[in-house]
Amino acid sequence: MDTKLKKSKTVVSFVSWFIGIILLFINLFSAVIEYDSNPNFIGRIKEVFGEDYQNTDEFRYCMSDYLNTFLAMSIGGSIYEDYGETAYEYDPEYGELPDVSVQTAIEYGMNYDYSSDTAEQMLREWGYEEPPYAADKEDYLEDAEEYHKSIVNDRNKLYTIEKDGKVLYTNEESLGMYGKDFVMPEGYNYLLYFDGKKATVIKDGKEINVYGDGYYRDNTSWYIPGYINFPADEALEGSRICIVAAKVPRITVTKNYDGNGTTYFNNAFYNIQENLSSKKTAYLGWLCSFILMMALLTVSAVLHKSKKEANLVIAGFTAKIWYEIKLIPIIGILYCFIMAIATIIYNGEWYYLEEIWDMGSSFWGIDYLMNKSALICILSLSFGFIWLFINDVRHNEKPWNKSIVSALSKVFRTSMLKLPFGKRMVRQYMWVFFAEFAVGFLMVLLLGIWAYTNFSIEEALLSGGVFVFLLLTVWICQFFYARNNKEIAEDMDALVSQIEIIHSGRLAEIPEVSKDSDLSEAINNLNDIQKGMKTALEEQIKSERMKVELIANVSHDIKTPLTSIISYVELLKQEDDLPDHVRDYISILENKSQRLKAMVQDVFEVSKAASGELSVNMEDLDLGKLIRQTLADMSEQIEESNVIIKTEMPEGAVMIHADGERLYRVFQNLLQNALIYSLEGSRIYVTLQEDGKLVAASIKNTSKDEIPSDVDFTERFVRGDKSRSDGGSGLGLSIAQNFTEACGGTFKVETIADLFVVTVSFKKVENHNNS
Amino acid sequence: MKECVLVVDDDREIVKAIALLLEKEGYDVLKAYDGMQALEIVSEKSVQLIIIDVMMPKLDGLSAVMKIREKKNIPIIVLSAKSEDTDKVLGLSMGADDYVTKPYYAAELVARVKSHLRRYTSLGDINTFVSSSNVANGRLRYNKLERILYADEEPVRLTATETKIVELLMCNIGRVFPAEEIYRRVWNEEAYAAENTVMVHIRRIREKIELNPKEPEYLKVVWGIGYKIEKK
Repeated sequence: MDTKLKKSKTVVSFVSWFIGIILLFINLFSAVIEYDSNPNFIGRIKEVFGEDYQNTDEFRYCMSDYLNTFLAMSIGGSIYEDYGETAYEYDPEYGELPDVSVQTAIEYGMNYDYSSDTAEQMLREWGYEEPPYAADKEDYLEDAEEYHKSIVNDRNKLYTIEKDGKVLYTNEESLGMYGKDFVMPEGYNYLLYFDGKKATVIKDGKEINVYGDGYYRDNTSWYIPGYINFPADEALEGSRICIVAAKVPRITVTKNYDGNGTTYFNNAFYNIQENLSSKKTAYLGWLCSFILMMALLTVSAVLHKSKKEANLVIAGFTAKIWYEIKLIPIIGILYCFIMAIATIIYNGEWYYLEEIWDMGSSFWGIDYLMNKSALICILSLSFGFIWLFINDVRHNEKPWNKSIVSALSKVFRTSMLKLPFGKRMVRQYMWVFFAEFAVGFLMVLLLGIWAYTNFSIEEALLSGGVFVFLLLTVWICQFFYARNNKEIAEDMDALVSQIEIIHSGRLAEIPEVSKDSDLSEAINNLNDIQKGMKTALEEQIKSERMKVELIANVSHDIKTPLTSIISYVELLKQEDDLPDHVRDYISILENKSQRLKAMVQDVFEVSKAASGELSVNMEDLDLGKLIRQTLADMSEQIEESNVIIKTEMPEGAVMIHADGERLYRVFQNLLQNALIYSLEGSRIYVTLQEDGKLVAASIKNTSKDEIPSDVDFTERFVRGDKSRSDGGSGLGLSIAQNFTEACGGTFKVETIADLFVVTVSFKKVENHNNS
Repeated sequence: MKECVLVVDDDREIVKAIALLLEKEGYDVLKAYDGMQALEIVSEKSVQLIIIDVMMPKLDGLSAVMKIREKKNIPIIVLSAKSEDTDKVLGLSMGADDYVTKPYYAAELVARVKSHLRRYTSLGDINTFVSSSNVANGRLRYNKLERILYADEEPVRLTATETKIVELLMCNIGRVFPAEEIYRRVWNEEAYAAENTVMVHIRRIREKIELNPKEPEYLKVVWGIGYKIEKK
């Protein structure tokens, strides 16, 4: 239950963190785009949540355009005079949101994005001598009539265009009267009246300040005449324009029955209204996503420990993947990123961002759900891959070691290592040579193509010839250099194999060297070293043998008089009617002569073992049994002593490979030492432990006397007791160590305060059925 | 009739000490101080056993042993300060019957002398005793019917348990028995602390049958494996 909870906690923390981060990105991104499109962000939000379409820049801009167009109509000018400033219409089919600062006009679904100058230029380029609209007044009138006809049915805006008191165009006869008195018909609450000099705007019975401080600026949304620096033309003096906007705009449909299809022209107000409400939904959605993001991030912050575990789990999973596979998505993302940056720099604008924003702006609308999902997917995937990559690097040590390249190079390297040193060198050089050849060939090819396309054949051949000549020269030089190197490599090979021979101990083999070789001196030196080593080794062996012989002879020479001593002591002992004190003397003599005998034997054995001449009879045996047997063998001594032996040994057989007789001596010596030097009444711990492939037997005892800290107890003739008054020869531990090592075991002495620990360890012999 | 023992050593004190030791046991002792002397005495007098040192002037012990073996079949004990296994093998293969290292253990030397003489003078060939009911091994002979162990043809007084152990080991000469197995087969119980119990009995048996119980020849411990009676 607990682990389940923990597991789910881990999952929840990670998922909430991931989604939260994705949302954070989307929100930040949207915010940047929104700010980019309209720096007056707070004003924008006020507009959107005011839910009044008449309170938007788009509406003001629209009204300005209508006024300008109507003014042109009133004096018979061209309504298409300025491509950028024609009547503003908004077509939902294109879903374009009008950009206020960049004055883009959309007319009849066609997007003109050029200034008039360029347009004219383009028209000339297309073959028109003069712009087609530079026509006479009749054409203007026709245009005006046509335009009037197209908007006459629109009840969202009512208009009257008067010139010198005469109504030219209107879609509401009574409006002229209303306009002068600033009174609106039912259902209309917005009125714009132009009196020939200035425009007056009334909304819900209140006048709105259009001109501000009276100066027109680039970002002023009312683009109408009447400013100090944008006064009305004198020709407009007789013009009276009145435009009234509906409180609630409705869609106007014109069904073209004699033609085909239905048109939705002139629905600017309705579209603004619709756009406003959809934007409101978008903002609300955005708010929701922000709250959700905060909640998720809080959850993951609270569960940050579980999150860390999740990171580790994921890192453990990604550790198994080849590094190249991890790199592919990262490179892909980097490529996209660089391309986006490059495109932005190239176009000089946030082209890509806008594209993405266009998808994102309808984020919460159903129509663009596909785009939205795509955006989310792309963002999440990119982020996910980048995060996985970073997480991998952070938690795994050198993840790049697990890669196809490193695996291949390892295979290559191991296969190379099998070759002798010289061959390896040659092989390596060959690679360089091949690579150079390939590069040279490619260069000649490319140069040839380039020269052929840019120059004449003769020139190409000449330059190519020179290049090839240079390349060949370099190659030939390199070839001779490589050949020289190859000889050196072969000599090196000889040198390396010679070192190998010395290493393996075959000191007798001395190779011949050619005298002109670069390395002959080095090889000769090595040979000298080899000879020196050989002599030294022989001498050492000789001296060791002599040492053993000497000790054997000495011990033999000591033994002969010792035999007499012991024999006569024995005889003396058998004498009857000796005084008691003489008997005491005899027993002292006997003891000391016996000790001398033991010592002579010990010295002999130690010297033999130390010089490696000890013969061992190795067999598989049970170390546990051996220790038990030794303890049983010494049971009398143990009983006589004042210490208790505690054993801790496994029940079953603990098989090792050793010489039983020698090992018996080892444990006998160790136990004897322990019995002699232990504190009275203390315990000796004899333990046997199996530790993996090793078997360790240890004997621990508490010393009677303080243990000197700076003594190596396995040295010959070293005793814990400096006075040398006890019975030992000082060779016990030395013998034990030498014998253990002769049997292939390790011998270790440790002292911890007064605790004396000897550990004898051996390799375990497996699969033995002796039980 | 007193048996005559020849003691050969270049160290006169040792010869004297051994002589004293053996005379106490009631043997006649002849002394020689080098190999040549020994050969002369052997050819002139009736000698039943020879104790001979290896390293001596004029003729060394082993050469002397070889020479003596050409004519005589008497027991020869080599007494040497050389204690290496290789020295022992060499001495025994040259024709010696026994090899005792210096410094010797007086009681052991005497016991060996007695053992060899007994076999040489009164017992003859050991093969006479080999029959279906007898198991013979060197100095030892176990009669399965009588359930008695003889050492140098002298019956050894063993307890019932000791007899069982001896029977088990004598009937399987050379085979190594772990303590647990001995315990199971002799006591008919599951082994518990077998090592100590068995070792105590082994030690007692050794004291009864071995010449030098501290360096047993027959009843041996195979360290780390078990116990056995060595084939001689």
